[in-house]
Amino acid sequence: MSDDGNGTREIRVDYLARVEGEGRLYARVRDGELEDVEFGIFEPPRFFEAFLRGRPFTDAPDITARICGICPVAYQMSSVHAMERARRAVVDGELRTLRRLLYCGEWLESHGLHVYMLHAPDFLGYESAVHMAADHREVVEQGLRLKRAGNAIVTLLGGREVHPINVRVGGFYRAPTMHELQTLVPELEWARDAAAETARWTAQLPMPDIEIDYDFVSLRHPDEYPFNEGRIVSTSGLDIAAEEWPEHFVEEHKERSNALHAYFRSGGMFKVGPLARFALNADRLTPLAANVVAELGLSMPCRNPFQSIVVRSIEMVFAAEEALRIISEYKRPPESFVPIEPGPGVGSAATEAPRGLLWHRYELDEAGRIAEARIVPPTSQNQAVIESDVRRVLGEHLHLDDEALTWRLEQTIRNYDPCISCATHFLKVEIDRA
Amino acid sequence: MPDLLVIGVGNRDRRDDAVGPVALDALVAAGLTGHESTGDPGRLMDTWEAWERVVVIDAVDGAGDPGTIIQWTAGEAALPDPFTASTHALGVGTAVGLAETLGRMPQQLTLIGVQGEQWGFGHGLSERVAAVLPQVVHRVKELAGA
Repeated sequence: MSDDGNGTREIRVDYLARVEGEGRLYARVRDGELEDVEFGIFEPPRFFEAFLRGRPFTDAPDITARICGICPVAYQMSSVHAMERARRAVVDGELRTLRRLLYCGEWLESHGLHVYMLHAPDFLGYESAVHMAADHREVVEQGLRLKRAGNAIVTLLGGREVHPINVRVGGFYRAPTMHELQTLVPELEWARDAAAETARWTAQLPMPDIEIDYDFVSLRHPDEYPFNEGRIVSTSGLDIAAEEWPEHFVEEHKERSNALHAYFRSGGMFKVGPLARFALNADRLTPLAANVVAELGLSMPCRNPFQSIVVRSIEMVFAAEEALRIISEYKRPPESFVPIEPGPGVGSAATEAPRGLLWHRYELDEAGRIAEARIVPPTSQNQAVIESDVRRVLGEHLHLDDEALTWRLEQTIRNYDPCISCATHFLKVEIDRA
Repeated sequence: MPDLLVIGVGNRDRRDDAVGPVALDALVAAGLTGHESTGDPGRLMDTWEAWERVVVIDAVDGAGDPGTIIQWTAGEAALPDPFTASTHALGVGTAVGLAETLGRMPQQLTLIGVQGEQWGFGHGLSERVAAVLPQVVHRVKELAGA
């Protein structure tokens, strides 16, 4: 942080090398007026796209699962759906349902981590979850247990704790038995109720009163709160199939960032993630999740980005409820996958990663090898709107001192649970009031 | 050595971040009990709290020249800063902090950190990190009394 005494205040948030993604924040205020805001990140998936070329189409779920240690399931799901579309294969019935169950696990894991370990300390005034644990032991233990309930699903269906390996194009290498799934039930019942308590708890956290007129984008399915399937819709009326994504969105390179910024081709930014899903799919929530929304009187759509912690909690209620429903109706399929022959094709798919829409597109050559791969992660899509939020929040909080202002800006970034959440906990911040 | 668990933390697809899992492979081949981890604090605590003695091997940053090995034993001093950096959302440093606060530490915990050089996507340790791998393996074997 710095102040040169001449009326210019510069905020610089540098980046740590050892993180899943790299991000930095820079802002300059001159004579009390915001001059410039830049939020730049480096996104690792670009390297994977080159890494995928020449590989058999069946390798995509295993390779893309390694892009993100926090949401490997999302990468697996978008890749298998895109490959199946490329090869015109249909995977439905219990195999489709098991994929939803796997996604329930990842949402519980990822949201549990973010709500309790990464975001709650911001609201309660703690530097980290470790500092928060000293005063709020029961809160941290609840978060760890919720996350563990999600871990258990991913480990059972994914085949192991690190980088799930049981997912394949066409289904799974092995489908779980009914008995194996039943072992998850007691903890999921606890998780469902604990998530509802979490939503009530987060709703009473002190948070800035701010409303932003977002254009939300998410999947929407005729019957379900979206995980794996649906059309890509927006609050401004977009309604397209996944393969139409390039016709309606464009990625632009900004000099300040190695990640591409996504915009509507018609102009303007948009927002993906829990608030977007909630805005466009609240009528698809499971019964308890819907009841909690009504009980809390949450506005729909919710346009306060800081309330994303509440919406993530509601999505945890949904994920636990949905997981329990799936398990109660499960019948082990006779085959764990649909055989798919290698061959040419083009396929696109979007699924809902915990952080938002994750879009994949692949071109396969005659032998079924990957000729082209394109991956658009949610953090890349949100990059422009994160920058816009920082600009708005900064403009409304210039009266704060450097420490409080930096805290609020980091919290603003963490509203998005970006893949650089890890980095934002280690941010070195510089405010220059030149 | 049934009372000692070795945990290799890291991402095998990010060059020197794989030093923990790669060292773990050698130690498991030598007969030690091992567990691979992404560094997730909840899972680390779930894994280690049932063990008397645990050794965690992880890549670190800020420890000096590539290949520098640092070691910390719980209870002896404050956790060195390099152990708090992580490629993971929350890493080993957070796990130690939470475990100390929540009373979920193993009876003995030793962290061994190896300063990395290359953190990009890809396979293969950088030359200077690969060069110290035998030292890391030897050090863990000594701790295990093997």
